[in-house]
Amino acid sequence: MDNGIIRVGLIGAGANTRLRHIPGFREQEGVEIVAVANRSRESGEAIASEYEIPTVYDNWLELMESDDIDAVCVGTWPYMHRTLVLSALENDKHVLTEARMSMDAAEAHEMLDASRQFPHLVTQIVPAPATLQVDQTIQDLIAEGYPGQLLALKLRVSDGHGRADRSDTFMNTEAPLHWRQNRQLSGYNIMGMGIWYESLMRYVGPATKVMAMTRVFTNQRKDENGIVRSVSVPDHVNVLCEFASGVQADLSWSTVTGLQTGAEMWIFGSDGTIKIEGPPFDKVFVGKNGDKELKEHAIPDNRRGKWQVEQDFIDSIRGTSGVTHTPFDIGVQYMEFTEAVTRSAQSGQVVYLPL
Amino acid sequence: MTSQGIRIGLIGAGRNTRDRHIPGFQAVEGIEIAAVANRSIASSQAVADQFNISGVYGNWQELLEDPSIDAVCIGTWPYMHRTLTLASLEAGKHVLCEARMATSAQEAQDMLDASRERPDLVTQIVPSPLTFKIDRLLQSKISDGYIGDIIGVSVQSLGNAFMDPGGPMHWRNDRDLSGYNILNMGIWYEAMIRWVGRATKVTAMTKVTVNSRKDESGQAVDVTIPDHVGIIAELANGSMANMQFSGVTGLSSGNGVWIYGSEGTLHVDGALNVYGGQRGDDKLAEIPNPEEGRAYWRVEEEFCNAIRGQEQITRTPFEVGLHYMEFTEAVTRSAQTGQTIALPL
Repeated sequence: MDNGIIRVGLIGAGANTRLRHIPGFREQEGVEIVAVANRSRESGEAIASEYEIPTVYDNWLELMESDDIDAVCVGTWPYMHRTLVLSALENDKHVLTEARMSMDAAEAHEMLDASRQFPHLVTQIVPAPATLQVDQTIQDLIAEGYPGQLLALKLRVSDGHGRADRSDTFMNTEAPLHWRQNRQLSGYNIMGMGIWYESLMRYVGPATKVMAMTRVFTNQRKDENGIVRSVSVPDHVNVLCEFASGVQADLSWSTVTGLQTGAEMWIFGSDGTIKIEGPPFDKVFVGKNGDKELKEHAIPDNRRGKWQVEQDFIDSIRGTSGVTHTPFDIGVQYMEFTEAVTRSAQSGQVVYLPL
Repeated sequence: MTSQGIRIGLIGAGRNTRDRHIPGFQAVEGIEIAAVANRSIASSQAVADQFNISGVYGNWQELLEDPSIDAVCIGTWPYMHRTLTLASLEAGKHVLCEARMATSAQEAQDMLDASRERPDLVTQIVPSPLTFKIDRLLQSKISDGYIGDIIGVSVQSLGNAFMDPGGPMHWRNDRDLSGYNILNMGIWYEAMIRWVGRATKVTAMTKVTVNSRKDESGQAVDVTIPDHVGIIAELANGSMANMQFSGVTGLSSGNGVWIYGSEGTLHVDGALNVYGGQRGDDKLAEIPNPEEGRAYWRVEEEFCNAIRGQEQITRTPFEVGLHYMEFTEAVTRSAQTGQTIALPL
């Protein structure tokens, strides 16, 4: 950190890194993106020239071993997150890792344990972004007691991942294998489930009991080389869970529910109801006992959250704030939930959390 | 036997009996509602006076001993259905039994077994009438291949009112009277069977939000029947279903059904309008549901026709009642044990 400049190295520069993290870091004063290591030197060079990054490494290990880098942004698929995070910490680098945190709960625990061994280094996971605009307002409503005692939650998500044509929401057996459908790359993660669960935890805390049933409707897909691969990551998921707060929830995610798009979430309390839908999730609808219907609840500008991942990361490195979106211990909670869903679906038994 | 006169005895004459069955029987030619046995002789007399019923009995046993009664309409709460059905069959009387069929799967099995010992007698359960208006439309759309292979089914029956902690005890909240039945779960499952068939695996979570209510005498009593239920199920056709029932979801979006297929989607809204869309469409559109194609309430006519040998019971035979009672019990067993329950039990 010469002269207060924070030098960031990118490992894996996929779509989210290019669309979000690079511009995000560029907006921060005193931050330089100094190096990139992508899947190949060629793809690293393409990124470097497009975004004017001075150094390209052949592989991530070389980047980690560089003394000229203070912080690493891990943008790979989940299968590399644990390895890269542990290596970054061992190499005395702050680390921001892309979501989902890891392949499974055990990896997430290792990452959390490692982060605690390096208290001077900042560790952060890219947060669930869909509900950032409304999170604070929902938290405020709950804190004020608007819904009263929280009773039930319902979430339905029609997920677009893996679809060649986003306008066709029906089952698509022809679409090529997406990395989210590849268990070797994604582990227990299923569609956008972990992301949504992370948002739900902001409102009702973590779950204590999970029961799930899942289905793979398209169980073979061609990979990028045209080779048929079997698919074991579900494209349709139903989850029942109980939260420590007493809330009982029905959650569903699917990529095969034709003409259903987007998502809606309802929180039912003893005295009031809160609903969001989207995308975009930029409005909150509420109703209280005695009302005839839900109405829009105005969100004060200063309560509307936004994407500020890179700023949070840099501020935390500088010690001017702490990581709230998202610290590793929250990542562990959603990875435990994620793993519990598959374990319950596999065993036909309730899985209790924490694992 | 076409013109055979049939003498009906009513056991339990609650609201559905008075609103539906009595007018229904009175509309069938050659039918006489000959006797009634309600909870007390006084309440029997009141019903008899209101509907011109000549025979008044102090209890159901006396009614069943009356040799002039051909058929019995059981309108009690579920806790008496098994006992009354078995006794009626033993007394040689046809049986129309109010829904829910029984308090448990075992009782339903006993009733089915008893009915099979008397092939000469008609047995029928009052069908789930909620979706008569749309059952045929959904059945024909699905069998015509409109949605392709069925992938997912979603049934939502959420109340619109907030939790009512001071609310009185209803017989549906009373496990002694209702057994494993919860909210209107069995009714919806029976309807769902008509469209997409039965479940083979059931996973459920339930919650009793209001766990104490006041009975008729103002005494606080514990409630163990859930007022919020989440169910996920695997169906024999290979699809997955999720169902939600609740009495505590204030200002919810109410009732709705979604049937997702590989090529199309069907949606039923809370007012029983049917919408559909297929691959290539950009949204769901309402599907006309002409009145002449719809099923309608003809429970008493069907019962009498069956007694006269003119038709078979389709709404609802005891076999189907057993199916929904097994599902109903599986929901509670799954919620109790935290395990997925395979059907049939």
